[in-house]
Amino acid sequence: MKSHGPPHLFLRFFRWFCHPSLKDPVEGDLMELYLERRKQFGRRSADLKFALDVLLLFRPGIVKFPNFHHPNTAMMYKSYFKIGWRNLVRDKLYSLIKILGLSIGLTVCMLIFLYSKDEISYDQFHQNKGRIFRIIQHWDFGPEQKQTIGVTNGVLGEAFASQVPEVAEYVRVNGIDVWVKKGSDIVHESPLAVDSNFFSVFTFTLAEGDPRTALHDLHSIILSREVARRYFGTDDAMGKTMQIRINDDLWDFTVTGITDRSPQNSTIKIDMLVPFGLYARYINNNKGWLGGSMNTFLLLNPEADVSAAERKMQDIFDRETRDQLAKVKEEQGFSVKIRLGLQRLTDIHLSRNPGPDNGMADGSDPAYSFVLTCIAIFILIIACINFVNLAIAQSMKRAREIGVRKVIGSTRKQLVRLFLTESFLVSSVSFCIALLLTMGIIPTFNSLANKELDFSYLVDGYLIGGFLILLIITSFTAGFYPALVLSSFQPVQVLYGRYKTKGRNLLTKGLIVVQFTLAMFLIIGTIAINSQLNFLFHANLGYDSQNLVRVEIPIRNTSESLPSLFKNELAGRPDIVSVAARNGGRSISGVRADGKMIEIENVKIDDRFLSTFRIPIVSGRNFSPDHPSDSLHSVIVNETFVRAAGWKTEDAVGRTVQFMDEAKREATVVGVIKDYHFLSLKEDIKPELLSMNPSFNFGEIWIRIDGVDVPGTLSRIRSTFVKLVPLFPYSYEFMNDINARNYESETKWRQIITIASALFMFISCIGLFGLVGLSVEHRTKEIGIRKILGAAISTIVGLISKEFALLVGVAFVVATPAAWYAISRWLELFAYRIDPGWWMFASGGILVVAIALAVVCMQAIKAAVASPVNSLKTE
Amino acid sequence: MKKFQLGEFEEIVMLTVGILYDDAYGVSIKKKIESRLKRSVSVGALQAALKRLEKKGYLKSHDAGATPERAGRPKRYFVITAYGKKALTYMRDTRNALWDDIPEVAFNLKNAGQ
Repeated sequence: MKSHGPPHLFLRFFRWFCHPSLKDPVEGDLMELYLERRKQFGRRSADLKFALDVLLLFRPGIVKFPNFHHPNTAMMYKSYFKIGWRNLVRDKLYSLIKILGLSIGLTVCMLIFLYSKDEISYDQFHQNKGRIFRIIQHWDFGPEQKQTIGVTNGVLGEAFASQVPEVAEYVRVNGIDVWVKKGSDIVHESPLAVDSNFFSVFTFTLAEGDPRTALHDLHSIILSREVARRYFGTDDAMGKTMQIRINDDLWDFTVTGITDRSPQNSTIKIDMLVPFGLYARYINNNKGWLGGSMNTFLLLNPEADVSAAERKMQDIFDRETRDQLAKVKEEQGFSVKIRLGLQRLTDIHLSRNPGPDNGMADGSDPAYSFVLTCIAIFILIIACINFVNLAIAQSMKRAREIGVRKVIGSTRKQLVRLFLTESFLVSSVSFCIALLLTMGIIPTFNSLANKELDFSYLVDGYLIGGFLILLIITSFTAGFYPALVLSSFQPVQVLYGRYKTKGRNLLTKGLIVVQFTLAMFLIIGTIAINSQLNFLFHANLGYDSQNLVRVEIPIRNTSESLPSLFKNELAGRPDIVSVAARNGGRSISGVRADGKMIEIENVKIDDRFLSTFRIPIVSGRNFSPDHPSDSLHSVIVNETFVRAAGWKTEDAVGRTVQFMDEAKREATVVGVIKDYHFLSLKEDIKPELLSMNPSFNFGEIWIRIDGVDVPGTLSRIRSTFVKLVPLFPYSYEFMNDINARNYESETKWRQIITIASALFMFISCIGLFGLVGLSVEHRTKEIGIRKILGAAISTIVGLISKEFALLVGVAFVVATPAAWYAISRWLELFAYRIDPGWWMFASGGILVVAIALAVVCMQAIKAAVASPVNSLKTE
Repeated sequence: MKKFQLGEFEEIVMLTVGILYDDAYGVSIKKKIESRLKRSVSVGALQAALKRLEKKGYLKSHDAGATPERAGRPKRYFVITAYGKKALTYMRDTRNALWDDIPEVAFNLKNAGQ
């Protein structure tokens, strides 16, 4: 068909613009000419001429001009608002339900907007933001053993700045630990050691001092106003000196700059800055190319090609490290491929791998933004569902009004406008409430989300625009479908009262199912997260974690003797049960056992460690002062190690293992301990090798206390510490707190999901409450007649509740598999986990059904106990 | 002040409508002008002129004669109104009067300028 006609586009264009009085005859002329020309000149030429004709027809006199003449639109809108307002006020309960739901939904959306805005604004204030990159290293030890780290050694920046043409400057930024003398106290601080060009690369300003020269002197220091006030009582601290200890040296630093508070959306927070040059003396690994301990930022030239720079860096790096890597392979038996990369400064905040660390702050998991946004959108959707459902259910009440309006001559367009105005009214009211709520909730939200958001943040062109768009979208989503349905009523039918809402019922039901599916999904999720966290917090860790205190001690030459000093000092006190020592942090290395390479957790302990932790010995013996050779030639292993080595627990004692270090030292297994979870339960227990190797330092002292007078005991430990380790800050932590910290992010997720599921449930329930109320209102007469004919109250309650209960049941069927899938995936993150049991789904389902039924019954019972006389006499 | 507003192209269109008598619609008018005056006429220009003339009251129209070639659209036939005839006559008369008053010698171009 199409091939017979003239160019469709032009014909459509003509029809669109042509004045209606000319359209038909002129189109006839055009067609006639077209056919003739086609016969005469062929199709192409005819098409062309047709197009030309159409274009030449586009002239005043033929084009129809839009009619701007709408005499009483303003009046009509005024009337719409008035009617809308009256409807809102007339059905107070239903209006309240709509407004409450929408306000909650909008509040959540606003908060998430703020949150997301803050998240993506991180580090965007730097003028050079597009040119600042951090060097990162991808370490590849073979399949499934990859690691990306954000730290490098000091030498890389220097080399790249001089050898790679794309690189303009480099700045090293590293958080270090120092001790500052304040009167007679020693205060621990973590300043950033930075190169002197810090202020020319990053956009931070100095309130006082010259940013170009402030860090030139090796003994200069820059403070934030807050820190200056803390140490000097005034922020006018320029030129004053402070005594700071780095490792074992005490230096005098002169304050050469004062900064204002760093922007809250910065991953680099300035409290204290010291010159990198001084710090560099204390790090021996500054010369090596392998490994890393600090952030190295590169400022690329404008318009430099990032991947070209990466390639050139890689070439230099490969050249420098080739020999060393070969040596490592030869000596330690493993090979590693290292690839350098450049990570944008502005990507660091939301990056996990690697995120902001080593002095940088405020890492964030983008998953939070994503999940929070989804939750906000869904909450808004179910609030809109409430609006749609209630509006349609209320339509029966308004059917007459619509019928009369149509008879009087209202067009469908006008009716749609009427209803959209009403939904806009409801949305606006909700919007204002939401703004107030947001203001009120921000402080709570900040503590939940670890943010420093402020309402003044809202005053931003994009955000205000976003909010307005949100308002408009909400009014449309909520109002559009009801407007279409209600305006389509046939006046004859509705005025006769014959109108039935058949198809709409299906939609309403579907939407209820959607609401409750989401609510149920989240509630089952909440139950699962709670039980997994319960499991984590109460799991049998293989040792007694109660009343176990950790005190960190400085790693120095003296640290070997410290534990015994502690033991002597604290011995004989009844509140100290026992004292033990362990290395600080984690150390992973490899040993050879029966010719097999085993990757191990290398742990250094003393002879009291196992008894202090109450870790049972399965076979063999503990280290003991009675065996002097234990410190060098004995090791204890855990059961996992025994399994990894292919031994049996009974015959493990007496076997030898060989260390992979240069000395190829051998040691005998003297004991096997039961597996215990020193680390988070997210991780599998690794083969563990405990030794007393004196070349490996203690870093932690573990004290088991009796727990009777905890504050008293802690203060005694503190005074002992101060006596034994002067000039070193004291810090302690309970093992239970350390364990809980491992699950910080899980705890945060639990909070988010719990709040979200409560909101989902609440909004869904008030919607259901309203719907049941309306359905009862329609059936007042029916219920009255049933009662007169002898129906029991329970029958009537059942009658009303049945269909709604069924919907919630359907929601359960839909939600269960989805929840099961999600929970299983989440649980896979944990090495030790519960199984998603049927009881989770059952209890979640029962909870939701019970709440929903309670809501339904509230309305149903009210209707059922009402006297039929009242319902039947009204007409 | 002009008594009748009639442009050159409008006058041609009106005359052609007159020539075609009871078969004057868009396409036929266009073809007639093109064949008689050897100039091409766009549909747009023609329709705009016809609409203007109708508005001035020189032409009137009626729709009839839908055919398959026209995709079922009617033809809009035009005829000259009495007022239109007056306007044409006025144009011709004033022009004739002007012609008549041109002295013979004015066209004797060989002598012109001497």
